[in-house]
Order: sequence, then structure tokens, then C-alpha cells
Amino acid sequence: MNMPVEVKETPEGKTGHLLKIEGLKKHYVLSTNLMGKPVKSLKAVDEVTLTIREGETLGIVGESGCGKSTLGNMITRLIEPTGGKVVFENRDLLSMSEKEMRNVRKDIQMIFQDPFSSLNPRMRVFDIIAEPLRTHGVATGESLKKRVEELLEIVGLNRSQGKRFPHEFSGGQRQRIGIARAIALHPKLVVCDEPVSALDVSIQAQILNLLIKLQKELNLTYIFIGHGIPAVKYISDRIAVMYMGEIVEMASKENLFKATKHPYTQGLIDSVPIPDPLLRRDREELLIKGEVSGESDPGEGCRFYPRCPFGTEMCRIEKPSLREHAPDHFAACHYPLS
Amino acid sequence: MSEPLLEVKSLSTHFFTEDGIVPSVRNVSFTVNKGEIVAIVGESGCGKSVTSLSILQLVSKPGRIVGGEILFNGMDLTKMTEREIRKIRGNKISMIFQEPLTSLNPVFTVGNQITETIRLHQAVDKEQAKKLAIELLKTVGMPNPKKQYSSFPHQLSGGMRQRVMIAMALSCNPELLIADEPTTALDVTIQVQVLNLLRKAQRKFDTSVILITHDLGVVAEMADRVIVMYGGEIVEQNDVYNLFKEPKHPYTKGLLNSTPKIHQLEDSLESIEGNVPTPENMPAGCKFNTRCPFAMQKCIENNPDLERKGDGSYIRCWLYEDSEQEKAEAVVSL
Repeated sequence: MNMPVEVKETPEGKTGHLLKIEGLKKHYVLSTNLMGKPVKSLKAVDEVTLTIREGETLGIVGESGCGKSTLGNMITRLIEPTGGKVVFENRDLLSMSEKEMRNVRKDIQMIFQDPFSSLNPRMRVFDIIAEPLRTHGVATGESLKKRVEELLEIVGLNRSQGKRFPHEFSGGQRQRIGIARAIALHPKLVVCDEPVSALDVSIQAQILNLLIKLQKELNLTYIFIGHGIPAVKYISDRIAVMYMGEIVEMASKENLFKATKHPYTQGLIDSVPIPDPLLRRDREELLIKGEVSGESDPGEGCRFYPRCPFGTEMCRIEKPSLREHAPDHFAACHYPLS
Repeated sequence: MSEPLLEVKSLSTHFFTEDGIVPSVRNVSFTVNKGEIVAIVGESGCGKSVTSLSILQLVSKPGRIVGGEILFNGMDLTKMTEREIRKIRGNKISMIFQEPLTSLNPVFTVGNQITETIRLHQAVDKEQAKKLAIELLKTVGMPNPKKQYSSFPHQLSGGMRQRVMIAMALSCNPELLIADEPTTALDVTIQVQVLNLLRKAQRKFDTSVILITHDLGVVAEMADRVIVMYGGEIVEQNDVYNLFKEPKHPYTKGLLNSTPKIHQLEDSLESIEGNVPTPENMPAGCKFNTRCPFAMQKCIENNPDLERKGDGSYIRCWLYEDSEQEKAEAVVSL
């Protein structure tokens, strides 16, 4: 079943690694024994290894609770990992002191899902965008003002709007403010955690296009976390699919959709309703049945085994590792689809 | 054409707030035929949810229906007393909401809540109601229905809760089911299961459905006919195939162009400029004129009417204004 497939090489010039994640994990202890040793823990993110190339957008998709946001938060160390490495430009972020980390934060910024709770309601927009510049002592006085005004214009707002407060803006405009703040310090990597999920359809496209434009102009690298597969597909060069804390498939966007290997990925793609009534599909036979089990300890085998239509005894007993089945196309499955 | 089950005629619902009157729904007219799935699409604040709440007479203060008729099997729901409407609500017309956790009572078991609905509208005893409830849970694909009958809402996942909501909504064989964003809070693999279930139930009981959603994918998968709302008004109405094949209103076109498509590898998204207007800054004239790439002087001055076209579609746009002669022909053909 494991047939070699012809694959296109990834675009040239995107070979330099900006970030490497090795065996990253976050386990939450659910209960301990008398000695304080964990007996039961929830593996929110387990042994995730991936690399992000300079200038690319790596999409991370998965359903709620799959660990995608935890992964994003660990990269910026907003959540402290239980183990593993996050290597940014050849330095391990996890072994850095808070002070060293602060310096790196200039290079790694984040855009959050909810533009309502991620902006301080008591600060004027000008100060929200100026805050990172002030904190890092990058600009003061007239040059600060100039930079903030420039940033407002870059994200499609006008200078005068800096005087206003966040509540005076719509969701899409607030997300623009969040983006202006994120790019203020000329970061190299921006972790976008579901940046369009809370927005109206017509506004989602605006923000996605703005992110793409900024990436080209400012030479940014993105990690784009999302549960909306069409949006992730639109913006990403490569996509990693997560299921219950693990990456189950990772490939260029073309290969992920054309030569899907993992049954979960296939099920996920097939579940997305297509906005064309002529392509209405017969939904009688669903590839993925049931739902994510609430079990904190999924046992020995493949975590997708209980829902997988192709699961065998082997899948129940032995956990498949993430292997390269075709050039630059990784999947964690004993019986890849193509 | 089959006969209409629900006829909404010139419905207007306003909210009388401290800061003034907010006309959330203005002059909305549409029909739902027997066994038909009608989707209402639009973005936040377009009036789609208030329209559905108006049908069930569930608009709460400071909101009020200020005009229009809602005929259900020929009876005007707006003229009914609370007692009369209760016999219809949950019985002949039922509703599924977006967030099942807030629409289920956390202190009663799932079974309790389903049997309550059944016993409110049907003359059955406790034992029979329980049997019916378990049967319904089975119909909606609840694993181990006997056991889940005694679970509390918080013990169930989002998808399972929505199944309970659907079971409750179907418990009295309603003639009309209003589903307000029924799958928005769910993951895609669960969404497809719930949509499947809705469609199956709709076919089995020949229920009419009003499906309120912002997701054009869901519309394309489910609907027979589509109503597009913007700024409290209907801007376009057509059958699902023609709407997607040939969208007419610039807003409908914009919405389709700004939706990323999973079935096309190389796509480019065109976005609609500007922001969704809030009631306070609703423009005069056509409500879409601030964002419309084709806006003319006329659009800023006057709001076009929702006009019926020769092909059966309805459109509210000056670009599609019929000449006087065409209008006369249309009248003759009616």
C-alpha cells in the first residue's frame, strides 16, 4: 500500500531553517500518587517535531483540543513546555533566561484569535501599537509617532484612528490593530493563532490578503494555526495536520490535498462543505465516524485507531511514527492512502 | 410549486434602545414551502437571527415586531396570544440554536428535557414519553441512548449536545424546523455528521427547514432556496443552483469571491472592502453602497426595492432595475 508518489519539490529559496521544533511536548498532570508523582496526565502536545523555513507559511490545522494553539503558545513560551526543544536561529529558546527571551520576542510575535480580548480596552490604539516599540526602546518621541502612524497605514487604517479606543472598531479593524502591533518590531516569525476565525466571511478575506501582502513586503515567516481548512489552505505553503496532540501528516499544500496519505486528513478534507451545490456529495458514507475520545490516555496504538475506517490489529497495538513517505511528505500511518 | 407552509410578509422588527431605534429587520418577505430547506445567509448584524426569532415570537425587549404578518398554515402568528403561540412553538415549529450548552438546562438530565417537551404537547404518560425519547436519541445517532438518557448536558460533547437539541426539536414532528447556525460551534468532522442527520430527519418527516448560517459551504450542501440578507434586508433570493451559478447582487458576488474554496488548488480571494455596517452607521440609500464597487449616485440617494425577475429570482439592486416596459411585461405574465 505504501507506493512512492511523484512529488514536486518545494519552492526554491525556502530552504533556510528559521525555527526547529524537536520532540516538543506539554503534558498536564491530572492526578498524582502519594509521592507527588504523576499517575495520569493529559498529553496536550506530544513529541512534535517540525521545521519552519525562512519566508514560508506553515499552516497547522486540526480540530478543537488537538493541541495546535498550545503548540503555538509554546513557541513563544507563553506556555512552558514539559520537554523538547524550540531552536530559533540555532539557539534553544527553552534554555534561555527570561531576559534573553525578551530579546528574542522582538523576532517572534503573535497574532491572536479574539481581537476583542487581545487588545487592552483602556489603551488608545496609538499606545497599543507603540507599546512594543517603547518596551524594547526602539523609538521615542517624534520617531515613535512616525513609526506608529506608518504602521497604521501599512495595515489599512488611517493615522487619525490612533486616538481612538479598541471598542470603537469592528472585529476586522481590531485584528488590523493586532497585526500592526505584531509587526511593529520587524519580527522574523509571526505565530498567527486563528486570526480570522472570529471574523465575518467578507472580512476574513481582507485579513488573509493583508497577511499575504505583509509577508511579501516585510519578508515574514508565518505559523498559521487554524481550524478552518479552506483558510489555512489559502494562505499556507506547507500544512501540518494535528490530531490529539500529534502531527499525523505534514506536506506541501499541493501534496497534502492531491496525494493525501493519512485517513484523518482525508476525512477532514472530505468533511468541509464545498460552496458549490453542483458538487454536493453523498454523505451516506462518512470516512470518519464518531468523535475524539475523551480518554486522557489513548493507549499504545495509533491515536486515530478508534475512528479510522482502515484500522487493523497492528494499528491498535503499535503507534505509527511520523515517517517521510515521499520527499518532504510526512505521515504517521501504517497504511498510507496513496 | 408546492404550497407554502410559512409566509413572512413585510416583517419589520425594531429594537427600542436608549440610544434610539435600531431597525434590525426591515420589510422582509419570503415563503417556505412544505418539505423545503430555505437558507438565510448573511454576516453578523444582518438580521438573520432576529428574523427567525420573530417567526417564533421570541424577540425580547427592547425588541418588538413593528409591522408585517407571519402566516403559518394561513394563521397569523403575530396576532396570537402567548397561550396560542405556545401550542405551536416546540410543537409545530421548533428551533435549534447555535450553542447547545446554553440552550439546554444544566440541572436536568437530557432525558428529562426531551420528555418534558414531549409531554407538553402530546398526551402520553411518563413511561411512553421515556420510550419515545430513547427512540429519538437513537434516531439522532446517540451512542448508547439508554445510558445517555440519564446524562447531564455537561457530560456530553458539543456534537452530542447538538444531537440532543435536534432530538428535542424533532420530538413533536414539527412542520417547520428553524436551525440557527446549528453547526457553527462544532468541528468539521462533527458538523458533517450533524448536517447529515438534519437532512435525513428532514427527508424522513418531510419537515420544512429554515437554515440560518454564514457558511456558504453549508448553504450549498443543504439548501433548496437561498435568501441573502444584508443590513436588515433581503438583497437577493434564488434557488440554490442559480444563486451559486449566477449570483447577481454585488454583495452575494463578493461573499462568494471572498470564500476560500477547498476544491480548487490555486485560488485567489477577492475581499469586500470596508466593514460590516453597524445599526448606528447604516448608510442611507442602498445599505451596501459604502462597500459596493459599483455604487452610483442613485445608490446613495435611494434604496432599491426587492424586485422579482423573470427567472423567479428576487434582487434588490439598481444595476438590475427593469425598464418600465419589462415591468409591464412581468405584470402581464403574472
